[in-house]
Amino acid sequence: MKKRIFIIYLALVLVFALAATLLASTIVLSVARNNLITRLQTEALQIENAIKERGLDAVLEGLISPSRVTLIRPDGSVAYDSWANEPLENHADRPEIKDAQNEGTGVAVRYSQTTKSTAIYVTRAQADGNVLRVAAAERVARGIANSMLPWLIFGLVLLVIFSAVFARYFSGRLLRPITGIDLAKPEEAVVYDELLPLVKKLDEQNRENLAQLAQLEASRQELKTLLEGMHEGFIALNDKGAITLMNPSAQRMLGVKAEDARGRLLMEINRSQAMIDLLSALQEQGSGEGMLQMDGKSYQLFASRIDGTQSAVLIISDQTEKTAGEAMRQRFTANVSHELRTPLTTIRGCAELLVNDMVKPEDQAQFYQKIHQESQRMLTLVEDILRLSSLDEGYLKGLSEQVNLYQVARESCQTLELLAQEKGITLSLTGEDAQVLGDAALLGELCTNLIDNAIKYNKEHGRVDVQVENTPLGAKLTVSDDGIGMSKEHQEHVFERFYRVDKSRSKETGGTGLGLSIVKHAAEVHRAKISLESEDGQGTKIVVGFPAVQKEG
Amino acid sequence: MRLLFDAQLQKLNSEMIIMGSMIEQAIKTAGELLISRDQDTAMALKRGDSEIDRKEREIESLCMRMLLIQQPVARDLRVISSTLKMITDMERIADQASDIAEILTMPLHGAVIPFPEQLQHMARETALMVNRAIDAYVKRDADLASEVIAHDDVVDGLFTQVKENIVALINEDHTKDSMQLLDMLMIAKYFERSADHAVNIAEWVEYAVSGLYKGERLQ
Repeated sequence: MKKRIFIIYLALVLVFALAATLLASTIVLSVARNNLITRLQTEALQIENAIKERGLDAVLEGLISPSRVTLIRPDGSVAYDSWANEPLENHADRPEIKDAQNEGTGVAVRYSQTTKSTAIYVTRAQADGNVLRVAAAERVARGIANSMLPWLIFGLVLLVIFSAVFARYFSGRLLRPITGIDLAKPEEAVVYDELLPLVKKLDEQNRENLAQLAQLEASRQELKTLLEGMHEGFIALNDKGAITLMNPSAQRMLGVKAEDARGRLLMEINRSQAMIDLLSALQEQGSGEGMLQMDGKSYQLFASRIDGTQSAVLIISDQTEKTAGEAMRQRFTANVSHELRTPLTTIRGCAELLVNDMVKPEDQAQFYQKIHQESQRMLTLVEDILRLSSLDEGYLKGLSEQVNLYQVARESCQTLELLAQEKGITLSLTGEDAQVLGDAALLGELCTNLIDNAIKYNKEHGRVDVQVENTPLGAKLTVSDDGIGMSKEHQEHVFERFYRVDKSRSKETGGTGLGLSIVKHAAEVHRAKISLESEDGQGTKIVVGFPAVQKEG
Repeated sequence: MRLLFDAQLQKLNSEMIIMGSMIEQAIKTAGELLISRDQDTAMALKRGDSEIDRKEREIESLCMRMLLIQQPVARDLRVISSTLKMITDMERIADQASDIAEILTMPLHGAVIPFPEQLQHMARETALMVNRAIDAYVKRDADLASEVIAHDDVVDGLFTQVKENIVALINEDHTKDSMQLLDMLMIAKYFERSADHAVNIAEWVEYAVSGLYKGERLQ
């Protein structure tokens, strides 16, 4: 733009300058010619006067003039010519001669046959009828004009240089307000009113762009936080099936870093059958589902093509706990059905025999006893299950109550004293008062179950020691026995529902298999920690550590 | 033309990964069968072999088409020609797995002799080698490929131990079902062969990546 303005400006100046020079030289030429004519006229007058004073011959003899002086007789023949050496032809038809003969004077500019150049002729008619002609070559006038030319050219060059400098400065100055517009703040420093609408529009657009950019950044950040924070793995695939995005969860699950995975096929990262099936389902149907088993974990996979594109997203969700939970629930249901059916079968069998009168009268009492026993067992079982499910739903009431753990343990011991005596087991309680924040009934359940187990799974004349103490960490309940104990492999499972170390003993001891499950739940409700130490045949020690009671105020 | 070629190369790559996944699973399952002796799994493994054979033919014809129509040079040619060699080895591994399953579905005479721990170890190592060889292909990782090649000595060592175990079993009690002991030797040999095929795959991976086969430039 600047260059263009500069060139146009300079060209304009050049054209005008040239035109002016041309005009000036034309004017100079015409002035010089007029001057020459005047000079010639003066000269002619002077010669005429000289002839009048001194006579023709004297004048012609002493004539020294740069001009050509010719005297023409009235008939047109040349009487004298200062330049021509040979006699000249008749000049009567020359226009300047005719003019002089008719009007007294004449002027002509024409090509001269004699001098072979353009010449200026001035004529005067003499009193005797002769015509005096004074002539000079036109180049004399041109010479005068030409002598002015260097000055003209000098002026022209000066003008061009000056214009160039000026044009440069001027074009820069003209454009500075435009080039100087700060695009971030265009409304400042506007010099031309003509630019105002443009600048306003620019400003408007600037604001709009900034707002959109901020919005875009915000939503990008939002998406990033969302993807990074989600537990599920998220993978985006482009139209070629290469990974474009992988969130931290997906990286963790598939054991790969995002920078290593980007641009590679998902199949290259994980080529398990589940993944290959999922990808082919995605390609054929546009979506797919599957379960991926890897490193002892189960992942659920969902893949779906994004509408209208060949890109796709894949979600991986960790189902390990859910699957394990489901398996445990299934086991529980199966166990419950089994445990309920066993006594029911006995009851039905006995009842059937009694109804059909197939029992000897003396044996009937024994059958009634059996039915009573088994129904009692079922009732206990159902009660235990109900208690467990109420714990499952969240046993939260009454936790603000301060309970003396020692008191609770003593009550449990008193209840079970009889059972212990029956089996010849020594039950002892030691320790001190210890405050626990919780539910008295639930704590009673916990103590009773622990002590009950210790008595049941004991040997004859064994002992059970119950100890309650205060520690800096909080109250601690220890129940230890020198009974049958259990091996390491069973220790992991004893807190599971219906788990039995020795399945053949279940009838004999009369347990439901839910005792330690209730203990575990009760402990969880009280945020207590359970630890178990046992060895096969060496007895068992269970420690329940309660959290410290926060002093009020 | 190049666009089509690139698409074909990509297809070749994913087909190879799929086939790799199949044989990897096959040899792993064969190893697991040594413990479980599950008849259904063994039958499924035998049936799966034909699918792997089909995959091999698919890849082979894809390679042929690419060689004939595209006439690749340099690296592309190396990738395709090594793929042609690799699928043969891969198919052989699947065959060995199927043969192992075949042995395990045959009726037994006499008491079951449990497989020696060394043989189970050997099966695990072989499955690992196959897995690593496929990994090396997927990642175009020459270092991993040379690791696989070096690992063959471990499997060979285990094979010798298994043979000694079997000899000890024979000497220990002549009343044993000798057929089972022979089968045991066969199974061990099949695993040992599979490991050799894994080494071959790794060597072809090296060639595809570096242009050197067993450290030499092929003419």
